[in-house]
Amino acid sequence: MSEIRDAVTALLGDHALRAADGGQDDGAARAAFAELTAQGWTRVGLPESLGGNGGTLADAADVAAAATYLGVATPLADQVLIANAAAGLLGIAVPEAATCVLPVVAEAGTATRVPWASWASHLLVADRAGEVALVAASDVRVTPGANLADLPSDGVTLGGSAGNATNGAGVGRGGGAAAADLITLLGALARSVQIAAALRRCQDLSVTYARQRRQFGRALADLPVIQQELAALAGEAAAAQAASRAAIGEALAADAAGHAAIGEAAGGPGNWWTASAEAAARSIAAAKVRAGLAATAGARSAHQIHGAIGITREYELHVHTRSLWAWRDEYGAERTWARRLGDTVRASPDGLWASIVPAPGNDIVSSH
Amino acid sequence: MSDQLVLRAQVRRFLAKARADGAFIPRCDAWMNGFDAAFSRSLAERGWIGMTWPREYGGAGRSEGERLVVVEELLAAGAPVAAHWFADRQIGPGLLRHGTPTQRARYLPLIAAGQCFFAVGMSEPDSGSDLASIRTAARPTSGGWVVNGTKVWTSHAHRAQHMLALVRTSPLDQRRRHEGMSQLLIDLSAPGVGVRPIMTLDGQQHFNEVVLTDVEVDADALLGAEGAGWQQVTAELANERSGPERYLSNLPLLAALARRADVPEAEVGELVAELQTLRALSAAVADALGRGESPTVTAALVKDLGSRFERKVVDTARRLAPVPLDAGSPDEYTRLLTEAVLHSPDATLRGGTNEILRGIVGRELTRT
Repeated sequence: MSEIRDAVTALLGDHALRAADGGQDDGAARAAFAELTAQGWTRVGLPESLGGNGGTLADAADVAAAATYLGVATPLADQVLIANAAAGLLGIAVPEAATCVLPVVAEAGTATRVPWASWASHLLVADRAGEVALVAASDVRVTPGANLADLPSDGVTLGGSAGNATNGAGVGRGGGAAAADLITLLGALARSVQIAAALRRCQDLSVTYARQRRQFGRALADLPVIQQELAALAGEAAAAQAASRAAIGEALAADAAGHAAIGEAAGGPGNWWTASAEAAARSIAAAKVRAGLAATAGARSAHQIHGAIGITREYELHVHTRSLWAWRDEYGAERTWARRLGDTVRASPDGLWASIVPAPGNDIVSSH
Repeated sequence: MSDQLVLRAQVRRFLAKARADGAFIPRCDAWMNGFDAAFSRSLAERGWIGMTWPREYGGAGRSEGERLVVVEELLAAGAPVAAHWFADRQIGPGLLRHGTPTQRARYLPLIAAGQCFFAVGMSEPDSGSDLASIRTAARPTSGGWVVNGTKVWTSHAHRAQHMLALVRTSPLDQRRRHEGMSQLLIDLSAPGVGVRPIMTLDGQQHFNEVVLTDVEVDADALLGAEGAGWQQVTAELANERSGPERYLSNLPLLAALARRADVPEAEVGELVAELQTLRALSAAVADALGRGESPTVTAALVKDLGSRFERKVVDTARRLAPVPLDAGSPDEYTRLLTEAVLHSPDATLRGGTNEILRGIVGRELTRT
């Protein structure tokens, strides 16, 4: 894990310095992404059989977290944690020419606020009303936009659905709606991982600042009120981290179970979304809710510790806190996922605890 | 994994039957307030007390993970486990770590049989959060020690047979405040031991004041090394602070809240997300402890986050489904909410106040 983090950190070191200057310099970010691509990091989490570099979802999360921590604005997390993971689970091969693959959840041919779409060479499009397909970016119309953190958040209009697919083989099963659900779940997971990483960065920045800044004749770090606030921030960062790690763990387990089931039933890809994945879905929902709460509280603490310097454009903190505020909303805000979790609890005949912690004898007994 | 699922199902079935038979009524905070010697013995008969201890000492030789399963189920059910709680959680492990073979043989089999209950004597009238300021002193004699002093907030001392007390065996040296303390195993029926009730604000009694006047104990009452009391106690605290009782004390209330049709799914879901995260965080601490690490910071964070979550459960219940509070109400939700409100200050006090714990975290983070 730390091997991956160290490698990505070493690669992005120089670019991170530029991010730390407070700018989201598009040229620098594109140069960073080109290097990540050249060294194969953008293909982590996609099976070799589908054109990837292998590695698990956990590896992809480590790659994404390392880049996010540094504040380098690239679509790396979206590619490895959402597009690669979805392509792998759906059995979609990614050709050599697809240098930047990003996910789109569309509704009857259009989508709004698609993160990073303007960077894509190819889009993995799941249309709720249609099919799922990998399409070349040249075949769709992209209207550039930005989110709260000045990260690309674009409109996408498809040319003509499946006809434009460069690779739709074996994809039709389950249809676009199931694939859209899958991408939304993976998107929530990706944002949870990124929120945890950004909070870790906020915590480290806050600790450094509290040690350096002197007031009342001593370092801020020596003031009990500041220690309390740092501890609160550390708690939120730890919660976001634990929640996203737990979700990764459940997703890996479901992935393994799903693939085993696929092998046995020879049903081909597309069956991933089965009962064995229900625990993963719950865990991802919980991660996005908890990470969203942590983003709010953690950003607040980090700003409170920093004082006025923290709300300037010149100091690095805003790169991370504006991202936190954007990411907590993307792929479903807390309320959306909380409702889904609550529905699950309500649907369980054995009550809240049994729905969270299943055991044989409940009807949720599964393939464990 | 499947062993643990089977065990969970066994415990769940046992608890459902016990509840149906009227053996207990679910309560909030039952690990603190629910003292029921007969119920503890019924758990002992099933091997669920001291279950990780070696068989030669009456244990069941099972894993920490299996113990966690049992403890979680007992807490989630609101079962009365206070009688054996402290002996099972910290006295037994302390005896296994620091006790002599004689001490282990004397106490462990009786604890595991549910026949020997322990109180923990730490706080004193002038020593709350500042535990190193304790004054209860043990003076060496030819055959052992003579103990004088007063312990307070000693849960269930009026019903337990023994107390593990932290005492000074050397006078306080202000420059080395953490030295000179030792742990003594004290028989609460010994001459010179006076136990006086301290009623809590709900009119119940679990707290006591234990006055020790020239209490003579044998040399082999010393647990571990003379002068190592502080290290022994603080090592226990990581276990104590990160356990599931820090976030499951109000689970019966949360479960009852979730059953109410007037409570929106999203509100239930948000609490469930926090609960799942706390389980993951607590498991991470348990793993670290299992690897022989000392995750002081994370353990303190679990306690801080967990106890604040418990407060949020109570606040959410009142906000969404207020009822006239009545401890004697036949309505389960009303009764549980009443208990939880009356106990609500306790969660953020016991095991070290949250402010003190945050101070520990803050200082640890900024230590240069």
